[in-house]
Amino acid sequence: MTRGILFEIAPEAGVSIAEQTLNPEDLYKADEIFISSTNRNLIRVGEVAGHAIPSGAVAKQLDDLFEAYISDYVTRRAAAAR
Amino acid sequence: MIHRHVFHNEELRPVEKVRLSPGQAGLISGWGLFTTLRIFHGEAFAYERHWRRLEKDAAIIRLPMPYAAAKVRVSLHEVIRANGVTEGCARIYLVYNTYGHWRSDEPGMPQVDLIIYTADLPRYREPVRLGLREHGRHAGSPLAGVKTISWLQNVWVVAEAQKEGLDEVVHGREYLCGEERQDPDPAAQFRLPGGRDPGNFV
Repeated sequence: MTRGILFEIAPEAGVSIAEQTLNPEDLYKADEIFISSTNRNLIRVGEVAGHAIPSGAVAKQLDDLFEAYISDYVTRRAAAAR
Repeated sequence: MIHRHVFHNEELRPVEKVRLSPGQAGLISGWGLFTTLRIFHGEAFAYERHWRRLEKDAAIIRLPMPYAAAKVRVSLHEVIRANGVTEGCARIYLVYNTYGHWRSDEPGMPQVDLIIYTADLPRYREPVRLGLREHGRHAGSPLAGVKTISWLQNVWVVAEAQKEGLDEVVHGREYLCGEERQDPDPAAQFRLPGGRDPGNFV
């Protein structure tokens, strides 16, 4: 669910997104990796199968974007309930 | 751990008063669906999306959907309020009771059980350490991407990884019959054919 929302809101914030097949080697040489989760929004990945993954700015940018989306949702729901 | 108050079918009850039956055929075999919702400020985030996915997946696995979205939302918020949750998570389960030989004929058992409960957010560290798991997704299955209650593959893989000090696992898909293998690593591919959603990492 989190990923689906990110696919909608990220392009609006200028972050391009593509879905494609990945090999483990693609992960090992990534500039940055994060996973998405209902319970944890976006979480930075520091290691994949023993390969260190650098941190970057995209996860933070998308996490902020997602938090804003949540806040807007909750505000709209609260307004609708009044 | 889950919070004390649980919604089961038509009632909000303390968990110790909820009765599930061995005669619920889907409970034993895993014929059912679930979704996990985030609760922010006492509100179930993106409920509409979660419900749409449940309906879509119910059509795929031929699970009857006798419950209405609006009514379940009311029940969900009953649970949230009863447990005093402002920040946390909730789960909605739909369990198919009345199919096949291994079911009971208990009076009052609905066709599909509705179970809703809440919990605190799980603790986690960041950044996370991921492992790779071969054959973690059966991409050729008609159930690929469906969030069924047959969830052992996911929780077992993570439990095994955590024994090794990892946090989560990337599930590699299997190679399909007739598909030419181009990489020596069987964990090499992580997308489903046709761009279908392989389901969440766990």
